[in-house]
Amino acid sequence: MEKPMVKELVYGAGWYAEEHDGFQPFRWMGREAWLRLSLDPGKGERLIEIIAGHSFAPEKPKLKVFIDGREAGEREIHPAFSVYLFRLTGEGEVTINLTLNRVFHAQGDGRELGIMVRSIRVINLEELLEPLYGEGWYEWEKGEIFPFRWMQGEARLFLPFSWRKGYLLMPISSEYFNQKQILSILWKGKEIGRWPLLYQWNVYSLDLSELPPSGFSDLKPEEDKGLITGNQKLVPAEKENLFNRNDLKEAEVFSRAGSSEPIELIFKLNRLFPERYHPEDRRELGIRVGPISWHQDEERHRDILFFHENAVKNYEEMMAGKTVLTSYPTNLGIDLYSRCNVSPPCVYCLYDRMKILEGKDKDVVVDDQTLASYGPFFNAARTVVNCSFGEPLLHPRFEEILEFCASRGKIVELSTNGQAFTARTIRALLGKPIYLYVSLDAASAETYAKIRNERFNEIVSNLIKLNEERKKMKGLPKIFMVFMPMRVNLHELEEYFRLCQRIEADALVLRPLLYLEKPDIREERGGYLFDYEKELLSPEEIRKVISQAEELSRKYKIPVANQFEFGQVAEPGRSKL
Amino acid sequence: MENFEEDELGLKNLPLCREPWQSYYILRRGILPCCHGEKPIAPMSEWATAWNGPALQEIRRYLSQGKLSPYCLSSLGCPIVQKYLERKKQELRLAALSPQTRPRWMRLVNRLFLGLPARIYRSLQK
Repeated sequence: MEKPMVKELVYGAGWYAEEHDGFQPFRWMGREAWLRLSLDPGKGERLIEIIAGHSFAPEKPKLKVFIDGREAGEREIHPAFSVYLFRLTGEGEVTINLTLNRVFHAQGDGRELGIMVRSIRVINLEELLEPLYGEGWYEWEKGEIFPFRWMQGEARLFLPFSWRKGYLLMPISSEYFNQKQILSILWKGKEIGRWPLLYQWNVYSLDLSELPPSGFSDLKPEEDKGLITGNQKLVPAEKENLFNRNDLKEAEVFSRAGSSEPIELIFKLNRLFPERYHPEDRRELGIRVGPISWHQDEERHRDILFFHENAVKNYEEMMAGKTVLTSYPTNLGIDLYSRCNVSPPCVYCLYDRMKILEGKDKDVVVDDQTLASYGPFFNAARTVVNCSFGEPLLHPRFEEILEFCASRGKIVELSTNGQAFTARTIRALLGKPIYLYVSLDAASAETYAKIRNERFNEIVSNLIKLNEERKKMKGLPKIFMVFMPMRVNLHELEEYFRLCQRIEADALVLRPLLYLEKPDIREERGGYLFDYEKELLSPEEIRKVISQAEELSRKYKIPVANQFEFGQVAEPGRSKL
Repeated sequence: MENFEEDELGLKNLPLCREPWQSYYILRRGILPCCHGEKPIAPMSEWATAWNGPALQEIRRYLSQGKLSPYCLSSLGCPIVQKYLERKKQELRLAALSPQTRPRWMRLVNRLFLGLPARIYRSLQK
């Protein structure tokens, strides 16, 4: 991250002693306060970043900042801790005065309280190496898939200068199913991106290579609402000459001209996530934005554009009740491998029947090349789900397939029996956006033996190993432990939650045992007669299991992904697992 | 910011099932419109055409009219179908118990035989 360029920071009058809110330290500021910075001499633009909040919602006191007596801007301070940036001028000793338009009094506290300041630091924009979040972003939070920040209705983001020659990759989650929430991205007042946002998590790609160097822009900078405007370092003669040099890359031009101004973007939403869906969280919430990254892969950018355009059209066609579609599905089911290592098959598995149904296609090869050959069906997919009657981890090109899907930004869903974990398969899974559904259905070796075989303990120890390894790889793959409630395992639900805790699973998946009218499947295994028809639970029993699972989920803090609710939209504010 | 309508997130008025628009399964056992589909709608090799083939068109047409197609109703493993059938069963049970919904002649017969036919019908239902 950019180096703080403060030699010394002295808090003057107007500050109370440091306190702690249970997460991090902060200081209360009264109506007026000052501080002194001793800055290293440095060229280029610098910002002072103040992270502040308060506990007097819904009030939004206004903070005015003066640097060496000159006003640097005014901001409304939200209750939740947020970032506020001000342009910093001067070198050496700099005095900063802060004033608030109002103060508050808390019960039992005689002090005059204004805002809580968590940190103050100086940022040199020319040394920016990663995105700098300005106003409009809340702090990082832990998400079901990855960490994210809530964005307010409007937010500001600075990107390193070097990112101009590439594409911005943003995972965004919207609560709007109807695509009516629109995100506009502005650069110097000009709209450079406008996306109707898709429901829940999706990746978006923004082309930054089209941005003209800011020094050359004939566009008027955003009217000063305290926002930073582009510098105008280049003299007109240089400007003309440089524009004619098409053979030079912009980056080179800029380094010659001695400018490396970062990209300042403004994000604007037309609609917020309505407060009535999050009554306990009074913050202004817009969208969730995951870790922002950068890439230079033009094909990937085009893929994402195609994906987005198709997903918008697919929704429109569905809502219009179209029966012949010009769009493609956003969820693609595939059949990776047709053989299984559990023999005889799991007691409830329809393996033998399926192999008859597969007929000659049983031996068809499905690999990374096959997926590529699906063309728009693959490109349009957000999720690729393996539904094979066969163990996918046994596929001879398992690594290549996962590598290919990850490189194309797909989320891969794999169901596994967990009996094919090897150093190779674990390595292939690590760090990739994969949802790994592990079908155990039992919390003890004894029950497991009644459904499958004697390998329960070996699987659990491999899962613990996988969990340790994935911690070093952004917590990926996600591990979802599958539990199909049946008579044989009904008594082990709570124990299964404990097992999930041990493995540090991301969720427990309640999956229905496939309903069959007259299954006629009976098998003696592990000293137990598994009679399919008798194992099926009644709707009343299923309701009981679900409510028990919800209770245990709260007790063990393991989320439940309830697949009995197939087809239902997640409650607003929650990700559907 | 714009003013909000009641269903501003667009969570209502969605089709009974969204799978035939949003999902597609190219499997060795054949093409399936969803992961709970009972019978394949085409062989695996026909993945390029089955997406807009007659079977999927029919499934979509029924759903867009707020109904489940015969294909869906035969896919008993689907939780949506299971819930639908359970609801239907309950409705039928209630209808059978309600004297108002019985035809006029049945009410007359019932009255003549002191309610015996209705009692027999109910016990058979159970």
